Amino acid sequence: MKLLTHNMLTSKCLKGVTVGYPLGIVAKDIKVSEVDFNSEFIARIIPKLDWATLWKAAESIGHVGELPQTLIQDFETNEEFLKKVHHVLLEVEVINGDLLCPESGRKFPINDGIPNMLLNEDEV
Amino acid sequence: MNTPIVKLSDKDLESVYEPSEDSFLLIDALEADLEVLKAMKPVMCLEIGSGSGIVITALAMALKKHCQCYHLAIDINLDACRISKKTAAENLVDIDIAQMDLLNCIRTGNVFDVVVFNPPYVVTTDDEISNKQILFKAWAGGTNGRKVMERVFPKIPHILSNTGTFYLLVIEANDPEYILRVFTDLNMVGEIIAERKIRGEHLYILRFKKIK
Ligand SMILES: C[S@@+](CC[C@H](N)C(=O)[O-])C[C@H]1O[C@@H](n2cnc3c(N)ncnc32)[C@H](O)[C@@H]1O
Repeated sequence: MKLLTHNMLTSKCLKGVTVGYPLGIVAKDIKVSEVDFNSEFIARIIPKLDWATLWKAAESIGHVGELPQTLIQDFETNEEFLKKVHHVLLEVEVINGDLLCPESGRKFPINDGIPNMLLNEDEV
Repeated sequence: MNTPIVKLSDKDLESVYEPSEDSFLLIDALEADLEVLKAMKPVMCLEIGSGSGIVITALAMALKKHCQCYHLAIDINLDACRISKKTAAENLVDIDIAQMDLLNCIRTGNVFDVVVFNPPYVVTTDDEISNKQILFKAWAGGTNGRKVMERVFPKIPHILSNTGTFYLLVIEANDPEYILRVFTDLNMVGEIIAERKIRGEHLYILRFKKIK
């Protein structure tokens, strides 16, 4: 699971949970691989992200590097910055671990890179 | 569009939907739209119910030649998730997978540029949807065959980007005209972009966009 996917996931559907975002991450295994860098793609994906969530996720798994905590202004033209974002979004993957609902503490296990977001009937 | 290599063992076929006419019609419809899709330069694509992964892999392979794009596939069936991941890897495309009930844990935020769904569409009793055999989930659609797919309809406008496109496969028995009207109420406009008659089934591809 990439941090880009984590950015899209919420546990709001749990009964009694009002925001459910962002999910915490407990990573047991992390894989870092090289992915081709395309600055235009990263620049176009940034507006779709919740920046604070991305930063916190990268930080919590020890891969935040020099990524700034707040999104910089002229990011489209800043190659150095876009490369850092590229790295955390696409090159870092959580292979095994858990996602955690921020309100209820409910765990969503990640195995072989696939998060299990299924809920029991009594949880919805 | 090249057809991805999909390898399913007899064991896999006990639980994972084998690519069929519906899968291929959806791929053909995406292929017919490829120039339009390339022009919109999608950056985030999503498939709901990816099964073997054939559809999203075909899309990822076609887009890869043109632009970089992030792909996410969802399935309720863990075996389907695993096979989708394997199909992507064997065809050298990068697809992230999540095991999930429809869009339950996807946040709203209008981020997906392309969303595709080949849902369980066969008319069955409602009980059959929750049959213990996981393969039932691949086709059992309950009343009018719409019971599963219609749970995602109201969520589509909230996850689709403003210029995004939603592709949905349905059959005659699901009442495509009715589905088009449901989307009108969601402030989206839809049309039939492809159809094919196969043994006892009349398949349609519906394409929806937001009204500006
Ligand atoms: C008709 S098959 C399509 C498979 C593949 N996309 C294809 O075209 O060959 C429907 C798929 O939806 C999945 N599915 C059914 N109900 C679902 C649900 N509630 N949430 C997520 N996926 C679901 C099934 O497991 C199955 O893989």
